[in-house]
Amino acid sequence: MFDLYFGEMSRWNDGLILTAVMSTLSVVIGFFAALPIALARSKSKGILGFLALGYVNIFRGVPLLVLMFLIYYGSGQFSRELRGLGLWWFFRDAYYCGLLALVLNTAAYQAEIIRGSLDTISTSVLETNAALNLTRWTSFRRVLLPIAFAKALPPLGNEYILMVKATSLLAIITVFDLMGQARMIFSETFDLRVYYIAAAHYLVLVLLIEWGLRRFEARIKWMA
Amino acid sequence: MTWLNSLSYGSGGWGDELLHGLGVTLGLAIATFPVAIVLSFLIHWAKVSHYTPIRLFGRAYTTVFKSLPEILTLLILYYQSQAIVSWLVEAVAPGSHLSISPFVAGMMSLAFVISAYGSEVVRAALNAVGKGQFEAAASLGLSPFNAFFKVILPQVWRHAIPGFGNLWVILLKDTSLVSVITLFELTHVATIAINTTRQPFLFFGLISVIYVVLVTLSTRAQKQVEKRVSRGFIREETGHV
Repeated sequence: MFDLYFGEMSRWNDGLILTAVMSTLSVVIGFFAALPIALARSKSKGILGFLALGYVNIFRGVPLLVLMFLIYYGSGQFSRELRGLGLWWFFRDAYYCGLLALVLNTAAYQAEIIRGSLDTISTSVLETNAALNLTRWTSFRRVLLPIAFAKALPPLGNEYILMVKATSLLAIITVFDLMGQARMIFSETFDLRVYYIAAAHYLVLVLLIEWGLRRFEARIKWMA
Repeated sequence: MTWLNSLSYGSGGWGDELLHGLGVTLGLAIATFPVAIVLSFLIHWAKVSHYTPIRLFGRAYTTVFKSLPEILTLLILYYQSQAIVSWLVEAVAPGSHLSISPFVAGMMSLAFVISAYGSEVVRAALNAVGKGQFEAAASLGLSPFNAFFKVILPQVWRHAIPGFGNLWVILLKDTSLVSVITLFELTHVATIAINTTRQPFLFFGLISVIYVVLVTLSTRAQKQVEKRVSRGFIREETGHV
């Protein structure tokens, strides 16, 4: 078991770093993409709210693997048009396509989380903001958003862990994250212990993130 | 409209294959779900057991299956169970061969993963019913078995429906992962169809729509069931429980 780890140490480390980078990037980008969607879901009753609801329902309904296939392989059907638009460099690359799929997926889930915490902020907070003569933008940026973020942190942390697990699907579209490296090494050695080493990596990674999140939550608990 | 031809029903198109794949997807989800629910209860009881080894096992089970990517669980269980079965067969009857079907491997790993999350649904639902019910049943002289099946279970499932409904949706989507070990479900049928037709966007778009419809129908049904089972508990005037 140890020779399979130490012998391939640089590949395992590469995979680990790529998994960490991809999941963190997708969660962070997804968070900023989710903010306007959550706002539209929470505040808008009109066409914007309807569009946001449609976005959330569609991207929570499609399995992530299918979404990755759709973006990565599906774009190949329009390679000529995409070349014409100058977007082909993006859709040609499995890394970008995978990241796009992850972001689209996590934005839908995070939007629902943020909407949930925005909706639980009591109206007295809004009235206080009005009494202090804060503009709507200031009140959102300086009061509502921090409170909503603190309230949403436990489920957002869960979402982060789910994304760490979801990046393993990138291996299917030929990205060499932890799972991709494991599949590669497995195809060379046909040794099942390779997958157990990958499992140990994921276990440690997830437990570390959980530990870090719990400490962070304890620090901003007063705000929630 | 030539693209419609590739979806036609019969030898020229992929309509019948896709329909079959849809059947396998639904079959896998429907076969897995009851197993996952029963396992959820068992794992919950393991986690609150008085015996330390069982309690530790329950905790380790949830931690492991919640931390590992579903696809890794699937691959490990598929290859490992295959290795174990081959070894057993070789020991009993040398020369013969027995292989694990992807359906069974997918069912096992999905049931394990879903039940790791399900045990928490069960815990919350049992908490909502409260310990008093069990104590009251015990003081009436009901055996723990009868107390659970005749007193607790009829009340607990009302609280468990939202949680298990969400898990059903997750399960439905996770069946797409089993395509990796070549089970002929919706996603795998689509990849095969694309190999010959060269129309990836059409087929992946189509099965995306199918998944979204399945998920939407499931959530609708769940809302209806929730409304129906809580009908005696909701005040008409306020709409609150």
